Amino acid sequence: MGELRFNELRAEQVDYTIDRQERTFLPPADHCPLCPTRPGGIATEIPFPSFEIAVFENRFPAFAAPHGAAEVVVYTDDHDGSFATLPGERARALMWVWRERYAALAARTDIDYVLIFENRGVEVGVTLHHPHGQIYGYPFVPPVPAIELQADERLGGCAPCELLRRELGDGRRLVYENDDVVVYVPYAARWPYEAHVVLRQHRANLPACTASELASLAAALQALTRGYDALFERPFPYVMAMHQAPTTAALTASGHVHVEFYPPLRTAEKLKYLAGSEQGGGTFIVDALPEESARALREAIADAG
Amino acid sequence: MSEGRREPSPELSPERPSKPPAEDSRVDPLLGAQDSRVGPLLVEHHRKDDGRSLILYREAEDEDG
Repeated sequence: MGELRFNELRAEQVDYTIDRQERTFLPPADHCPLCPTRPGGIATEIPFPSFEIAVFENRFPAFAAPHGAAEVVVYTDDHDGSFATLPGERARALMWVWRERYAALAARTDIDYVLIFENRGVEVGVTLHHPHGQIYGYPFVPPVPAIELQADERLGGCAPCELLRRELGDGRRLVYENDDVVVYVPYAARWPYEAHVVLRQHRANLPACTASELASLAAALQALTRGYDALFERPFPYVMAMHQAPTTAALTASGHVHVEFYPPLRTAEKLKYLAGSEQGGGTFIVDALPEESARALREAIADAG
Repeated sequence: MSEGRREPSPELSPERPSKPPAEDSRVDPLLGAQDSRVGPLLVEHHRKDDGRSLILYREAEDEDG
């Protein structure tokens, strides 16, 4: 059973959920628990013969009521494909689903932070290939969003707003733009092909976004992920994390909707590992300049059409 | 999961101020008022055999979609 312990040296919570060892691990396609339950087939997590988007409570939750939440978001009933290959209307619908789940979890008193994320590829530990993401509702504000809130204080205002202003002014690391959203490789990216997808307007969370902004966000995310797949002409693994305002009562005005991608590939076949300097020293060593990565991603997005 | 299994560290959560009700501006009235419709989507709430929630979303086909 699960337990939270506070790591004093790192000043961070560690979540022990040992029953997750029993979760389904890379099943064959005909035993996928995220596929619909078809006549004559196995009973899956979704007991319907077809569906568009499904959200359910994780069978092996890292967090659960009354101390958080863990949900699975299944993007499609089609086992094959990815977020990048979803039809545009489905990707736009997914933004509304994320928006609704953020609002629903934010209203719970046991949840202080809602993290929408996707792990893609065995390289980042995926155990199910069916296109899906996850949502964690943390009973505390986790360290990474907390550090970003500290950047607000350091920069004297909304850090994503200020960093977006700098990137637009420089221009060399821009990857994609539309009316409402900008994608860029950060000035000090920690991963060779790290990219941030940022709303132009200051929006604390998805419920604060307009329908147009949600559509633009979907378009930007698909442009980037299609570009990733085109970059090395292979399915591109990544960790995707959406940062929004914390949902703890005192901090709901903080934050700026943006999505961060941490892809582990540094070449078509080579992974960037978190080794001595990264884990022991907390300092990333990166063998690609963000300006060069951005140029490659711009070309890949153009190739992907 | 056992009851009361997770007590957030007092170092990170010294107090837990009560949240405003669902009508708070963070929650779109459209979302809070009617859970059968979210923007362009129709929503179905289900309960799985083991008690876990399952929500299905599909695009509305009427003129409001």
